[in-house]
Amino acid sequence: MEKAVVIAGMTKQYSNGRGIQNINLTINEGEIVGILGPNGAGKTTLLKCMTGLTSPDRGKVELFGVDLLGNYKEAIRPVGALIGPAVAYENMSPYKNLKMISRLYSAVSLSDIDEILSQTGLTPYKNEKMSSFSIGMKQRYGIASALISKPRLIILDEPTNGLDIDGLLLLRKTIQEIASNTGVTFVISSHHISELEKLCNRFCFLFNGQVSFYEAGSDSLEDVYVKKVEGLVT
Amino acid sequence: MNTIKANSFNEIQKLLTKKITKLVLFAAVLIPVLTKLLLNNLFIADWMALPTETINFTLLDLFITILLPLFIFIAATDLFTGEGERGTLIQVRPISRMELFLSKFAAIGTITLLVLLLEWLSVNISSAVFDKAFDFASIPSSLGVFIVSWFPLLVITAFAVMLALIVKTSVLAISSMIVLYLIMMFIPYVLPTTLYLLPSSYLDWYMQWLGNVSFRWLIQTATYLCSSFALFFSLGYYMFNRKEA
Repeated sequence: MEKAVVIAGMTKQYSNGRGIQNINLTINEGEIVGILGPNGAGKTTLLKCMTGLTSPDRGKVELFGVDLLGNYKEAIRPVGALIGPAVAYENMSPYKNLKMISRLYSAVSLSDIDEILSQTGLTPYKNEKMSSFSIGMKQRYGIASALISKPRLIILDEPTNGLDIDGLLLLRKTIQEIASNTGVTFVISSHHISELEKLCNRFCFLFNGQVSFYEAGSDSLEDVYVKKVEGLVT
Repeated sequence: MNTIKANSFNEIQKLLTKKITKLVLFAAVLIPVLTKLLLNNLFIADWMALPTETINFTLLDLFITILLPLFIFIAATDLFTGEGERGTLIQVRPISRMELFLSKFAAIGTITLLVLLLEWLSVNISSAVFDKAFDFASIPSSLGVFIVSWFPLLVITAFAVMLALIVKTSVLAISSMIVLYLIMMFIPYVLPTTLYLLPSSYLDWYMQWLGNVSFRWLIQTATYLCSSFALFFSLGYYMFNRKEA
């Protein structure tokens, strides 16, 4: 099985002392990995380093065998990501925003844009300016923008933020459909343990900038998390 | 589609949705027509006292020293500082930093050239309609003048982009650009020796192409423009490459 993500000895330290230290992480193609950890543990930093949004101080990242720091463009081509709040050009419609993204990928057609808008429930608003969108609708757009390029690796940071119940169910259904139909790899960071438990088959705990893993098993994820926090499980 | 071409298209599309871009494009068409119309009606008896060329160059000066620098400052602020503030500057997309930087730069340069060409077209059409003394033989040379005027504006664009990447807020970016530009425009009156060192002094270098200026002087000016462009562009890219989301 091909390795989707290989992170070796990655360190990123901010001036406030927070960050991640010497992270080693391998994610195989087809896995759905949930990243859990308290606020400030370094989840977003890890994902930003994984996607080149932030340069690590040390270490290397490979995506499908391509070195991210050495060949960013090729390494990031099979990746779709939503990291932090969904961002877009607000004086444009979601359709125009997605059309702009699609120009950077040769394989994305205009019908793909319509399909992804329908998949994320944005078809009725496809020509509205995004400045009038609620946080939840922007988040739906953010998910659409991560999926539009039909990536082999999808990285989602707190994708359920701001989503209503419909949006949450739609997102869960979309991830499950994509994962079962196409074997796409997912890396999802969230505070919603129950949501991650439903979606993921492997979990990565991040505490004080260090990682440890847990394969989905008979124990409830919440119990495992609490034990991790209390330092009962190493 | 080539990545730089594709993203330049995106950046141009973004700029075209801005009111300032629409306003400058509109002004490029309307100001020459209104000026010619007004002068034709007001000074019909003394028309010979206002030669066509003088009016056309005054109109060009208005754009290259005021309206286009202002547009460049706003566009550079929006595409760099503004996007940094809104979180859209650096995204997870298959485009290298150099390609992204170049395409944003190309978008501002393309619209600047478009404004100049529109103004040239409007100046010539309105001259043909309203000026009795209009000489059709002057059309090719006037096109050359408008195109030549684009090069110093590219230096101003590189300067604006560099400043846009130094500061963190849009308000600070636009105000510092305007203040520095005004200083560059007025400092030669106080310190005349600085005249040849400031990029703003070369905005009207089209005059050198029209006048009886030596080839050596033209080469010197072109070398200065290329050097200052390379300096501002390199510094701008250096800072852009260090940006993190």
